[in-house]
Amino acid sequence: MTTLPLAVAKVEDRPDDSVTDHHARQTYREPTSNVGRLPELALVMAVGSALIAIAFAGARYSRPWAGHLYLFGQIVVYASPAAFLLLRKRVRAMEAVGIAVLMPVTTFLINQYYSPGQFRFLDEFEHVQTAQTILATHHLFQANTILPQSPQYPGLEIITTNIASITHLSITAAGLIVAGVAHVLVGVAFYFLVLEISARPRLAAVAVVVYATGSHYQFFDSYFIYETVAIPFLLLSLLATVKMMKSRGPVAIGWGGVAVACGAVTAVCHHVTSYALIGLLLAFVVGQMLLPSSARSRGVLVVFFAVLAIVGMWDLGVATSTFEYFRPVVSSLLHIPSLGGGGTTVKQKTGITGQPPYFQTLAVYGAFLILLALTLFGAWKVWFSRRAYTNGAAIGFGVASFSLFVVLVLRVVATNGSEISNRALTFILIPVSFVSALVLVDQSVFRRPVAKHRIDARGPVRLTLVSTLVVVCLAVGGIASGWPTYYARLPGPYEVAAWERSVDYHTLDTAQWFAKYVPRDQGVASDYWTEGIVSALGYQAEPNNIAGLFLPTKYASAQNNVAKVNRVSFIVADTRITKQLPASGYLFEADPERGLYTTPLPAQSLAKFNDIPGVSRVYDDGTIVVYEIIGSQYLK
Amino acid sequence: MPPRSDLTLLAISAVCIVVAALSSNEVIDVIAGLPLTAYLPGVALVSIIAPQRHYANAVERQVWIVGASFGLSVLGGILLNLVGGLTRSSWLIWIASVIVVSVALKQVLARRFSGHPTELMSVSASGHGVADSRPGLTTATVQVREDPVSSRVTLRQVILLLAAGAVCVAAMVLSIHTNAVTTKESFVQAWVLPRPTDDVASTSVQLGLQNNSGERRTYLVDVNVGSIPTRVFSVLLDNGASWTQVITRRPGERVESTVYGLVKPWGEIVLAKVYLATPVA
Repeated sequence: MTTLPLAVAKVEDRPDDSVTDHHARQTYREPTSNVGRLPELALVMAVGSALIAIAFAGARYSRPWAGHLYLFGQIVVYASPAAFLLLRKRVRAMEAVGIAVLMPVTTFLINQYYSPGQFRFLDEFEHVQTAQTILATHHLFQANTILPQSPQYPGLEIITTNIASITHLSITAAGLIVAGVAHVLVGVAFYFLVLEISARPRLAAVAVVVYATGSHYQFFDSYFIYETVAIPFLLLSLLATVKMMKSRGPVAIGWGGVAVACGAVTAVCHHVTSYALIGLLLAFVVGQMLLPSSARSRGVLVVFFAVLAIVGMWDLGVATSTFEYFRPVVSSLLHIPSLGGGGTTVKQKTGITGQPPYFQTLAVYGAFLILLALTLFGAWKVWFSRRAYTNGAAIGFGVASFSLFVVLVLRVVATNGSEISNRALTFILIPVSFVSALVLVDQSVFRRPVAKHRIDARGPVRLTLVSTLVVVCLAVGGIASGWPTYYARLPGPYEVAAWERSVDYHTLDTAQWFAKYVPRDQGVASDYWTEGIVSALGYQAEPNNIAGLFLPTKYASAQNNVAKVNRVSFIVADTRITKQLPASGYLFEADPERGLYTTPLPAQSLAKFNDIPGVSRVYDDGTIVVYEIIGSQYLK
Repeated sequence: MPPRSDLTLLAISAVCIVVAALSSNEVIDVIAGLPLTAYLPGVALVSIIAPQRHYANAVERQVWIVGASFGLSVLGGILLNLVGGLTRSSWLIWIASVIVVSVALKQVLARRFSGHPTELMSVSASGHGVADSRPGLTTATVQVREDPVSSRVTLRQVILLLAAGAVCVAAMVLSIHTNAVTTKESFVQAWVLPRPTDDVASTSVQLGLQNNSGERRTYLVDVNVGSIPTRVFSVLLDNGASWTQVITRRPGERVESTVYGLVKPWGEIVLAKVYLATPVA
């Protein structure tokens, strides 16, 4: 058995030596148990989350104070752990790990306060279809009518259907359990990853809080979508890799195996997350190269190539539609129409609708600038202290944190830059949170890892107050740029083209009707949100480029061509799009009127379908009407 | 003879599997099924590589246990897909196999290492991020270990934690209530479809109605088929219930159905109108 050096200095349990004043020593009362002040913090964070729940309740009744209360609740949720970690003289290990648990638990509760026990995001319904198909056929890799990649990365659905089939819970209930557990795992696994690298519980917990300020952390990354369950395995793979780098002999081999196994699960769960894992492992390899040769671990290279091979084999052998999936994204990044980006290659127009309030844009870019500054200082701090590290993880994170600058460029330059950068931040914030936490905790760029028990000690009070404020600013910026977007940030009545606010019983029941009475894989044309729900839960195909069917007020041969080319069999007309402006600024995926709507769509745009010879009005619920156009002249 | 912890694991697993296999009660299914899917397989696997339960590792150990359970679930899903399918019984067999094999493997490894099984994770809570060979930095290699003597939780802390839980429960109840009240919809779904659906000229047509008004309601359904006089159906439906009626027509003949509500506040207001048009020749 390999014996590893185990020092047992209990840094966190030792009073800070800055407390030299006798009076201060006397008045500083120690908590009497290991959990320290964690219960007090838990209560404060619970109150913060409850304020958000009250704000959501107010928003459902259109109360004007809801927005302000929501923001105040969010500040409480983020400021309390940040202040706790940065202002306290000592932070016990249990307090630090407790915060790593409380942060994801609280944010997942906020997610559930928004939409208790219900899915409300379009992508979630796509994965529901895959899970339903697995339960019905008892087999994987069956076709998904709307997201072909979903059954090719079935990790989320396998775990969910495992729970559903054994417990008889619904897919929604089982999915919420899986998403919730995965969300908590992310927080705690990231804590242990940073702890493993730094041996500093305070730093690790601050890194978790900084990571939690990410724009997609609170909602998007805890939705029932495939990356939710992949991210914890990415972190566990990194954690095992770091443990491997610090070990020797069979123990190192064991941890290497665990790292590869976790990487394999990541590959089965989500494409982008597996690529992010490869990128971070590569950063570790680079970090290793910057160490003296005696301190390098060849195991990192082995893990890197093993994970790379597994991801490559999965993507080339099983998930064969991944390239097609990314082609439009690459096209939009490179502005190459020949790659098939279609309408997405055109830079989005802005107009009266779909334009966020200016103070929100200010908060987003302000937070981004703070993050850039923290990254620069943190990366420099890692470089400054590089000789002190025995493995490449910290240096690797320092290197990887510079990818934040790539994200900034993408955000400014690329089509859909905001969305792409927000999605990328989920992964880039892993190294960025680490280096940012170094700056926030140490409040000094040039401070080397110090000896003895001062390693995780608190800095000067004024600077820690600034650090706490910085975390709050990051949180506000993350919320401003995050999900749900500003028009759906608070729950409330149905709104047209407003993501979570565009899901109600009319759309859900229409989708159920399709699933029950209409054969699968028919082309269903509608506004983007209704089409997405009906296609996902109703097992129908989702044609693109169908704006031309809806925008004109008369049905002519051009509309016939649109229907024919896109193999449209049914038109789902949600009459609310003729009564409200689209909140997001567009009604269709490729909408020529994007950002230009000043009035709702004319009622005749939908009423015209009543007058087309051979078109049947097969469904009506008073709000949504479905037309079957198979009998019309376009097929003749 | 396996140690007591392994026997306990095997016993708990066996009870959960038997209960999950035989029970038809939803609550019992959840109580027995959740540990089986999200915890016990991970306990079995982690116990192979981390047989010792250090107090300082407790939280991290739970992370690995849950992660291992999820990971084994993914592996099991892929394997079961190759050998018959992901059914309830096959999942139970997979979980039982994982637990038994893990315990057996642990025993084999324990014997091989002369009673000292691999202690892969026993060092996991130690942070060696800083060079422990350098002067002045050795104390930075910290093992985060809490003092067992002070591991108790005081009554005040318990009360505070309960208060935090109560606040969250109250917030969730508020959210559930306001969400249910404000998203309540009252409508009826009406439809008419040729059977089969893609045969637009079919002589067989299905009429349908589903009550989503939130209460029991009576509807009048007027049906016109070509030149045949109007037929009226009076349909009484509970909330969530549906009604279907198959009627016949000449090939491609127009069928029109209008749904009226009979109960206030709708009165005679038309609630829905559907029709099958004559297909274009």
